[in-house]
This record gives sequence, C-alpha cells and structure tokens, in this order.
Amino acid sequence: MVARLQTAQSPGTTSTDRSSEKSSGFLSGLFTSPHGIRSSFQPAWRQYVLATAVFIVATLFSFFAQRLFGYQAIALIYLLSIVLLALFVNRGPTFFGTVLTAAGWNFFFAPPAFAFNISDTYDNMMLLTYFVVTLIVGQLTARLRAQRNAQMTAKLLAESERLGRTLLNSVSHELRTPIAAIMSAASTLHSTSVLSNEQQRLMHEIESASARLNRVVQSLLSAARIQSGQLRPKLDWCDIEELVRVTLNGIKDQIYNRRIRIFAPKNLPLIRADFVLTGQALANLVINAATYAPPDTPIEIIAQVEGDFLTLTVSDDGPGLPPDQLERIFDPFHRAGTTKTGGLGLGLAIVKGFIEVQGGHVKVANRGVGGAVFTIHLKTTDTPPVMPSEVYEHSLK
Amino acid sequence: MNTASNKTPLSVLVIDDEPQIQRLLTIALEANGYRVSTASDGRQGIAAAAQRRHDAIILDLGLPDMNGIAVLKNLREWTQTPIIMLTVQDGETEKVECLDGGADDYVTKPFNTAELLARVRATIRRAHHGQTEDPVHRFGAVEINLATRRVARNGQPVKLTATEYVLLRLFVQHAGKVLTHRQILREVWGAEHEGQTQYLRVYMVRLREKLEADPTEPTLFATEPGVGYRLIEATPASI
Repeated sequence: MVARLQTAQSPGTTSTDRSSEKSSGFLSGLFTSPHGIRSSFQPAWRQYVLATAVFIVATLFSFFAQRLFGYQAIALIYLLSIVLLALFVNRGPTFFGTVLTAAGWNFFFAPPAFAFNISDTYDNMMLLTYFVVTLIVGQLTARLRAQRNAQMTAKLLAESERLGRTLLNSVSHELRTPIAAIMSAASTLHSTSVLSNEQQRLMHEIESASARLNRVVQSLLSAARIQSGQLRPKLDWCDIEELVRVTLNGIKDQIYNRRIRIFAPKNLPLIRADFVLTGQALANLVINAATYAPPDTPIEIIAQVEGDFLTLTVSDDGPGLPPDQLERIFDPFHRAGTTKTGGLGLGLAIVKGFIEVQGGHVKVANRGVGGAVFTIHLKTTDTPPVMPSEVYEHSLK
Repeated sequence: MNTASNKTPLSVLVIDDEPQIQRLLTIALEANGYRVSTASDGRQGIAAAAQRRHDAIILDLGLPDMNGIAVLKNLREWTQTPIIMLTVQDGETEKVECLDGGADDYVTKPFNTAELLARVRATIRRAHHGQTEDPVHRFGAVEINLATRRVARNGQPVKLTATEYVLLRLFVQHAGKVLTHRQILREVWGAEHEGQTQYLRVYMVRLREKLEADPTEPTLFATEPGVGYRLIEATPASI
C-alpha cells in the first residue's frame, strides 16, 4: 500500500528510496526516514476473523430481535453490521462478511429456518437485493476509508520528509556556524597581525583542525542526506575530463604533492550526471587511495567507455584489501582492519550513495599486482545531446 | 589596507542573524578599512540598505524572518549595490538561484576571511569601474579587443568562431564574476536554449583549447561545480 502510493505521488523518489532501503539504517534514529511509516491496517487474516466475529454477534443479536421485528427486518441488522465492518477492514473481508450474512439470513431466518432453500419468491428477491445492496454499500465504505487512509499516509510522508529536511538544515547550521566562526577568527588574526613563528605554527594548527572538523561534519551531513532520502541528484550534461580536473584541483590540500596520472581519451562522450555528487565521489576515492597507498606511489585515474557505461577508475599501489573486506568496504562506518589513520569510515559509503542515487554503481577489486581498484560506473545515454551546427564547423576565418 | 588611504571609507552592510559571525565580519572588514553596519534579519537589512547607500552588502542566505533570496530579490528591485551572498556547502541550487536573482557573488561558509575580503574588493571594483571605455582587455597572455573583435594569445592572433567569440565577450564583460549555466546559455544561444548545458560544455572545451596555455590546467576559465563558469581576473594591487 505504502510503496504503491509513493510511486504514484512522486515518481522521482524511486532511486532515493532504493538507496535508503539498502543501507542498514545508520543515523536513522536521528533522521526519520519516510519508510518508518507503516500502514495502520491489521494483517489480512485478522480482518477475516473480525468479519466472522461481526457476523456471529449480529446473528446472535438477530435471534432476539427476530421475535420483535420479524425475520425480514433482520436483513437491516445485517446491513448495518456490514457497513460498520467496512469502516475497519479492507474490501476482501467486507465481501466475505457480505457473503456470510447473506447466507446467514437465508439459513437462520428466511423460512424454512435452518435450511438454505427459500420457499417464498418475495424472500428470494429480498435475499438477492440484500446481497447487492450490502455489497455496494460495503465496497463503497471500504473504498472511502482506503482513500482517507491514503491521504493520511501521503500527508504523514510529506510531513516526515519536511521534518527530516528541517532537522538536517538546522543541525547543519548549528554545526557549521561555530566552525565558520573559528575559521574566520583564525584567518582574520592571521592576516591582520604580525605573529611570531610559534604563534604562526599554532595558528596553522587551529586552521587545519577546523578544516578537518569541517570535513567530518560535511561527511556526516552527506551520509545523513543519503540515509534520509533527501538527496535529489541534479542531472546535467557533464564533461568527465573537466570533472576530474576540477575535482583534483579542489582536493589539492588534502593529497599534498601526490603524483596522479590521468588517462582519458579525447573523444569521451558527455554524460548526464550530477557534477557535484560525482566530483565528491571521485574526490573521496582519490583521498582514500592517497591515505592507504605509500606516499611515493602514484594514483591512476582512468576514464573510458565500457559498453553502456562510462567508467571512472581510481587505482593505487597500496596494500589492497583483504578479500573478506571487499563486500563490506562500502558499508557506513566500516573500517578496514589495516586502518591506521583516522576517519569515520563514511567516505566510501558516501561514494556509493552519491553514485547510486544517479543510477550508477561502484565496484571494488584488488589489482593483480597489488593495490585496490575502485570503479564508478555511470550510464551513458542512448541519445547523444543535440548540438548547435556550428560545433562541427571549422573556424570561420 | 588599501582602502584606508581613501578619504571616505567604503561602507559594507552585513545582514546575518548570527551575532558571532556579525562580530567577526565587522572585525575583519574594519581591520581592512571598511565602515560596517549590521542587520540581524531580512526586514532590518532591507531597511538599513534603504536608509543609506552602501558600497557592498554581505547577505546571509539563512535568515530567521525571510529567505535570503527573497531579501536579495527585494533589494534588486531598487538597488544595484553589489551583493555577496553567504551560502552553505551542498547549496549549489541556492547559489544558482542567488546569481540568477542578481547576486554579484557568493562565498561558501565556512569561509576564509581573506577570500571573502578579496570577493568584496572585486565586486566593489567591478561596480565602480564596470563601464570602462577601454575596449582592450588582458587576461594573462590573452588580449581581447572588443572594438576590432581581435583576439590574440602571446601576440599571435587566435581564430574564433562567431559563437566562441560571443561567449568569450560575455566572460570579458563580466570578468571575475561567476556566470551560471542558464545566464550564459540565455545570453549566447537565446532563452529557448537555457537548458542545453551540452553546448556550454563543448564550447568551454574549445575556448580553453584555443586560449589556455595548458587546457588541462586552466588558469583563465574556472569551473564552479554545479554553478557555472568564471573568467579569472588578474588580481590588481588595489581597487
């Protein structure tokens, strides 16, 4: 019920739903996922039990009422009981109750009593009419209730999503404002006063510590955004070579003077992807490689087309991964046993989340010669982008 | 520093609800010779901007009473004072909205004060000397003459297609400013092509190949991920 409703309400959310269902609920205590809402319906078998119970109670009551009103009025008691039942159960059990009461009226009350044959034509017509009216009324009631439930669920979903977003925004604001204050104060002090050597070293420590704290907060918030299903990729035509270059430029400070070799053929197609999310995913892979591989070894980035995918491979000459870790390496907070450096273990989970939300996937393997290979797969499009005619011309002069 | 020699100091209005950020921005700006006024919410900010002329406005996107973008749009209805927005990380959509809504620049929190001051200086300079009459512009080794439509690199003429030239001219006219994808597409290809980012990607590659010393290490055309492109200005010593 809930799943069907969601796709009907917002077709765009399917991809985020998938990713948030897969991850095992980290941070879920903090950020309510819309999937926390369950249908308030009882399980099916209980509804049938309830229908049977309603029938038994109505029948028992009717035995007394029969003496006062006669057997034909009993049909009205049954009708009332079915309408009431339909307020609480689905259409199936309502129909079941309708059949039961029709049979019950026929068997217990319509003469001859305690037999299914009916002697009177009038009673036969009555039975048929009862059956049809009860069926329609019961189904209408059940449908009304289902609609109301659907509206409520949709409202709850929207509300929970809104709450999640508000919470994420305010947590992010509260965490980032003090960091902004520290960084701003430090950089102002740095640029407006003459500091002794020692003070400069201390200032450098403050600056790098707050930059690190900022990255940690950034990771946590990214993970929370993935988890809460608030992540909406903004797909746009991207030049992968440009993306690689801009990304590496953005993480210069974190990978120091690491040698990075980029292999990208000139004729790579443009792909539809989220530039920022893909860039962040690539950045995390490169930082990961730089963390685990010895400092003097190069990191290789290869972009190429493989079938329907554009792949972005990051490989290093590090120790590689123990085979039993390959499966779990993308799990949030997972840390490889060999981990010596700090970190939350969110970087690779974010890579996976950011790529999967765009419809791509990430793979990891060990190279034959040692070192790990991470590959981002992004779908290339069947229909290449329309270009203005001038692109194919040579220069005018 | 540079502004201290001016007779009347340049004034900056800071609209931010966080008292601590307000204080720190005030210290940093005053240390650099600016006169600073502050406002803690959108309504106060608009009132303060209307009360007296400022040379620049620093506007936080997250204000308690109204959305920063609404404040920006209100201000843009009646003033051309340079506006620099303070945005958060992951806020690419908002950054684009700010620039499309008339902001001159944005700085992402947490920011380095030196970077913010550089942006303030650059936007004020653009606002003051925006309508320069000199048709010749220089960016590193590249020289563009808007009057004769000649483009040269290291003194050697560079052949550009008509569209490449229009794109380059747009960057030159807004040197130092981030132009959003939509703004560039609308100006160069027309409003009906606003969504065709692929044109832009292809033309940026071509422009970089023709004008950058090393197209893989661009020093002229900077990519602002998820937002747009910026033609990097040579940083002059003073405003």
